[in-house]
Amino acid sequence: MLLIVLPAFNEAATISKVIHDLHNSGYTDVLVVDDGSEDDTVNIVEKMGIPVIKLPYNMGAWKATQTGIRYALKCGFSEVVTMDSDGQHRASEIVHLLNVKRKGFDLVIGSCVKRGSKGRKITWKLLKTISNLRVNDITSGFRIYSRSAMTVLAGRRATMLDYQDIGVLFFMKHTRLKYTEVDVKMDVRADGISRIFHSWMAVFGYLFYTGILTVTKALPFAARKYRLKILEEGRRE
Amino acid sequence: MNSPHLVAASIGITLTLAIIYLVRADHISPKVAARWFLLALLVLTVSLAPEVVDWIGIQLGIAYPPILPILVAIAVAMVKILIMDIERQKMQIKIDRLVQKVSVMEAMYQSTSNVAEKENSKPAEHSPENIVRISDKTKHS
Repeated sequence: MLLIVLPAFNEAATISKVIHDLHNSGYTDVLVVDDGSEDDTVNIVEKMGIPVIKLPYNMGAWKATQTGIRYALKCGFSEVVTMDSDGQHRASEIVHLLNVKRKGFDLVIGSCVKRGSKGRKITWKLLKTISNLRVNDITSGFRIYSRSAMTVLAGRRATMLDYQDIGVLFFMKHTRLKYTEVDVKMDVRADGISRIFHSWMAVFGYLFYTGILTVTKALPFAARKYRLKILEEGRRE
Repeated sequence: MNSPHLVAASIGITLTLAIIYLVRADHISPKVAARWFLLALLVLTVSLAPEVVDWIGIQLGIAYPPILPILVAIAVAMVKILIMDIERQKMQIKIDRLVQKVSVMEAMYQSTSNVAEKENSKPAEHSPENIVRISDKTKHS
């Protein structure tokens, strides 16, 4: 059973189009996680009869996504697709993620490196080299997770993350779950503004954050003990 | 390099190593660690290039050699603040997870009650409403 999770923060302009796109492609199990929107997002989603989780304050995109993953685990879904609510990701591309996942992967990232600016591409390359993770598009929110990956990511430690990017991939790596990426087509955002790279200050902040995460987590680990702790916390969910 | 600078260098290095350990072991998030790394960097800069502080001191007319007890006091205060940051982070994570859990349960309850509402809105087979409808149909036929 597949659940589509749409974390949304002030997406009144695009959310209905995204849900219609999903319905037209045959995906009926859709969940919207409202991340403390101040616009009409919740009303629009409720009128469409779509289940919505209403977070009382803005927790950030990753924590909203994690809420959706926790919901999916409770309701017995075996896989979760996460998509942005800004219309950037196409429902018709989900099938590519599914096809690759069925080859035995726990996490498949819908990758579109050409959408990044030159600065972003250099950042991705740099982070990939330092972290030794075999993924090019580390910030893509278009992903599919297996139940094992969902269990790991529902735990307390994963709540400490702020972004659905390199930190999530480290969780996969440290718990020996299989991850990969597949090229997909993406549209230009309706508002044209990236949630992460919306200003130069935000870019520096993000780089500093990810740099710390990469340097501290990429060093060799007491892997077995750490893995068992993560798995235990996930199982408790 | 004299004693106060060695103390400052030790504080900077210890702080850096402590922050790396705390992020690796998931005791603090990278966001909280960022502030501490900046502080460690500042302490290291001061200890490795003490002449910067001397220069600022001379410019401002401040020259006070017995700074060591103050440095030690600051180090103790920093440890205390770091522990408080770890505690605060733990509490924040607990609150976030609790909020997630309550929101998930609210959504599940909402969808269950929506289903129940739909079921209830269907008239039962032998309800007066249904009987009227059936009798209407018979009349028309």
